Amino acid sequence: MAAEYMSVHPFDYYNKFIQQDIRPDGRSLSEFRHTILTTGTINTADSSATVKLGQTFLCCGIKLELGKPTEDNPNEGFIVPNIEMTPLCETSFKPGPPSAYQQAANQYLLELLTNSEVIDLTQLCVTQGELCWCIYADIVCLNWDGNIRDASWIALITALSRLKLPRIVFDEETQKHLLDKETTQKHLDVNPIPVSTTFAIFNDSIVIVDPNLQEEKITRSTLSIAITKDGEVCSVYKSGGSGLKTCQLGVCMRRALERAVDIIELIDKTA
Amino acid sequence: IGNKKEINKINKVQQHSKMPLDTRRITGPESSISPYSLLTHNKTQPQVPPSGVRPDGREDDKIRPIFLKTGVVSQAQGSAYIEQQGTKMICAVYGPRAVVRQEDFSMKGQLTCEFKFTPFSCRYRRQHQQDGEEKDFSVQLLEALEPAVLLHKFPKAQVNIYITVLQNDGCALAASITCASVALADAGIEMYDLVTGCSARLAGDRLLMDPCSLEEYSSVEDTSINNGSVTVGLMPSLDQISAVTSTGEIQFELMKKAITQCVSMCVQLYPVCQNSLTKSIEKKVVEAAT
Repeated sequence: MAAEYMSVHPFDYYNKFIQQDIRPDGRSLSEFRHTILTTGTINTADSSATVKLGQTFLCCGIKLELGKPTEDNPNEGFIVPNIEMTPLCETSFKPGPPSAYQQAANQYLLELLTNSEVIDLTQLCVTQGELCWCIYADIVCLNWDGNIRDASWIALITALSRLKLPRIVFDEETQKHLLDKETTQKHLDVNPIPVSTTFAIFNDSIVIVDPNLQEEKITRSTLSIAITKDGEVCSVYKSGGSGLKTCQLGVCMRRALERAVDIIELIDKTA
Repeated sequence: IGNKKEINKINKVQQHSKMPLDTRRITGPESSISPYSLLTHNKTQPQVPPSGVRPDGREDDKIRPIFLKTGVVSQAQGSAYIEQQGTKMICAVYGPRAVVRQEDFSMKGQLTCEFKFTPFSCRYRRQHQQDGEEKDFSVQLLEALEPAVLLHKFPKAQVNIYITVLQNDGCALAASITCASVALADAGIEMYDLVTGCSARLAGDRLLMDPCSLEEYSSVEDTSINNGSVTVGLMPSLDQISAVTSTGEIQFELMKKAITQCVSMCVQLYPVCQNSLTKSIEKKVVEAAT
């Protein structure tokens, strides 16, 4: 009975719960879903992390490659994140090139990575102007239940923080670069990590934290805040649709800060 | 200064990573190479020695232990996760749902398979777009599963199977056959039987069951006789083979032996599949009751 009502009148169904300050899955308006994080899940990848945020389940695998730096930045390498949302993860996806939604999610990750300067790209330089590391961070979504941004950011940044760069030596005799597997590899230096928190604005007035897929479909806009645990705001992204009061934004910032502390603790605790 | 030869090597079409311009994804440099190509002694694909221990210490006729779990993708009608030691993949089944193109009306339902390796699943990075090998596997998987599914039970509808390989350590096709049939059963699609898959590698006189990626068939190896691999898809309780594929040159007697061994291994896999499905049904019953 409830299921039929939900499919015919999703908005009204949801509204009835919100008026009682609760959501259909039992969460309060400011409660996150249970987050599980594991690293080193994929042995063929140079670094990997798997995140489960409620039912949203995705895996980030990093492959290292070598390439030529651009002429504008001869002493910087590349970090190339990409989210793959295949038809496997949800019923509405069709095979083919990434949709606008996916491209937007991709862009969000890339901008957060560059703007927060969490990883200094000069560490990825091997020989200035000639050889640099390219970190291909591919995030594969295996089950999509909303909030792809937060989950993929956690996976991405955890995988990057666990990544070790092998040494490349230049052999003078043969005039070639060689991969030195003997010496211990060093971790990437990672600056204070921002954590992304996504909110959805329901009925143009009520802000809910960590929307699942059903909630994303009935709300008109989302707000994503990326903040470090020390309170440095790295990004605020609000898509169009509904308005947002300034005081609400303040509340969201505070909630995002609490979340940042929790997630950094989770990342540090994970082996 | 540095070495111009090295840089030219990178800029030419090199190992695996010359990417066609993809405007819809974030791109890195125009071309890049894997660091494995800069190893001090660049080993070609290792040959299977005529005798001796296998890389993971197994005997020639032993397959790796299998872990199967259903219901891993909540959005799908049915799903399964398989782990054959180093080979890990997820299969999701959507359907029966409406066919996209109306002119494809038919009294038989449609079954489609899409097989994809993730970019980080193999030693060398793979592209985002499906390449020839993946398309080939998709077709072979479809051919292995179609005989088992009662297509006439969902006319005018389609069932889509999606396989994503998270980590490839050999036998990807064989594992995908097993995984997909368990996922189909989890989705409640009517089938004559489950299909289990098993692979064998033939090199010289040796017959290796369930090869890992180091042992997998490669056409560049030059053994004087017998260099190939066989994959078998079997419906165990009907005792019928639904698919056999082989690559390479194999002598007839050894081929017969390989297929027989693969069939017996497929039969061994059957209780594992049944077990995982029973567990998932028990879980569903418990959840429905509460």
